[in-house]
Amino acid sequence: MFSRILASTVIAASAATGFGQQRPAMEGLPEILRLAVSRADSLRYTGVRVVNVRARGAQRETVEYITRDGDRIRIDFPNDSAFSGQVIIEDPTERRHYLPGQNEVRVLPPRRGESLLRLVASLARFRQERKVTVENGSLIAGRLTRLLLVADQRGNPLQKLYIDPTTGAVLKSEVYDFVGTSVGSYEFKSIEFKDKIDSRLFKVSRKGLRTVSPQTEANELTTKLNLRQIQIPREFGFRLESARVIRPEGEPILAQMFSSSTGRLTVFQTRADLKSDRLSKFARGEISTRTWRVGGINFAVVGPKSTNFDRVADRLKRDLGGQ
Amino acid sequence: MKNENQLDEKLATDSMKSIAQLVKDLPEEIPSMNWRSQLNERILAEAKPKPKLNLQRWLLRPALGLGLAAALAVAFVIRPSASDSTGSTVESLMIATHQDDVNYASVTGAGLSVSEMKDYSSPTPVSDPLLDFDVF
Repeated sequence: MFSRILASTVIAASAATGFGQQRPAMEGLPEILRLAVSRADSLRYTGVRVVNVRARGAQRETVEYITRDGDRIRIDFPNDSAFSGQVIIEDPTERRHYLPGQNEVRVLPPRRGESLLRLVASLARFRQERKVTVENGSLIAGRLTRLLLVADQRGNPLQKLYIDPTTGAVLKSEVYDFVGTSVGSYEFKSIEFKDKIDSRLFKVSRKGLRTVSPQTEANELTTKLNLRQIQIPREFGFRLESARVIRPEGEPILAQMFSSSTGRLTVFQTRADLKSDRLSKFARGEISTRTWRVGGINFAVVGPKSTNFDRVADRLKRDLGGQ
Repeated sequence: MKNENQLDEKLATDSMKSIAQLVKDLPEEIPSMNWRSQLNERILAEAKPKPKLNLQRWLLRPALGLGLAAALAVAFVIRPSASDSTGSTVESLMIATHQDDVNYASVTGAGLSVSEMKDYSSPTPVSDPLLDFDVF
């Protein structure tokens, strides 16, 4: 109990620090967005959400049953889903993904509210480059919404949020790429707001569960591929979220995704040839890149343009013995 | 028709017949085979390569040899690494991977991330680009 209170205090403190930096930006933002952010941690509801993501020309749809109690969330999946039986439970400290088939639980950093916080941070950072407008939205899950449209200077949509003006719940969200194609969206098909949610729903008890962390997976992969173990010191606020191998035609590339309240960055390492100028050319000036080479391994860090990114990249390069 | 009859009458006169006999008696001229043979020999002599062309070939032979040796070296000794052939995609793949991760996090929030969809779905669809593009 004490540890939970302590953890909550730490999270609250760090969140306050993060919001402390963003609060001036919040003042200039539309009322409906401020409402959504302020209510994000106090909503209680159950609902059915359809998530669509698109990658490499393929569209993938998943249906999620959401149970939310303030800062805790539980996600279940329908019986006919490929994820049937799996459960995700997230609180402010961690995200636990239960995989009954493997009798495993994957412990990950929390992602709750990340999209809203990142949107606010993005609007603060690119205030001059973004246009934010509010208009009447469509009927979503039986509720009339307000549409918050975030666009670039020319009016091309980047993100659309359909917000319930009564509760502040974001009932639908769409994200667009730089040619105006939707890269993903979610939409509530039904939602029921509650006064109270049974707290037992956020506890899963299974004997013999194997706990797996992204760091465990990253360590296994670096050993297998004879690459270097990478850790970003806690002081920078980034936590490892996933590690996976990308296989082009030649040498494999290990990608490690880190997240923080200020953004996401990816650290790559490979023995394949890597051109720094080409990497920054593909980044098109919208994201930061840094590369170096040590012991036959090429390292690359890709992330948001910020002083924190530079500090992380400098530190990683130094720790790994880069010149 | 009247003109034709007049011409036939003129050609049948004795003077015209004697002229026709003179033309018939002229000797037939045939081109000399000796002259023709000499002409052929001159044409062949003109067509023969000059000594200067042989010199060029003599100079080019080592260059051709060196070129062949260089090509063999590139093919068998200085083998391009696999990454050279994929160099144009490594960088774009890195940027795309990062951008996808950022985009999906913005969309899914606390829901299933794309990496979770890939790693934990079951059964795995055979040809789903989301699932097979980077699973180790």
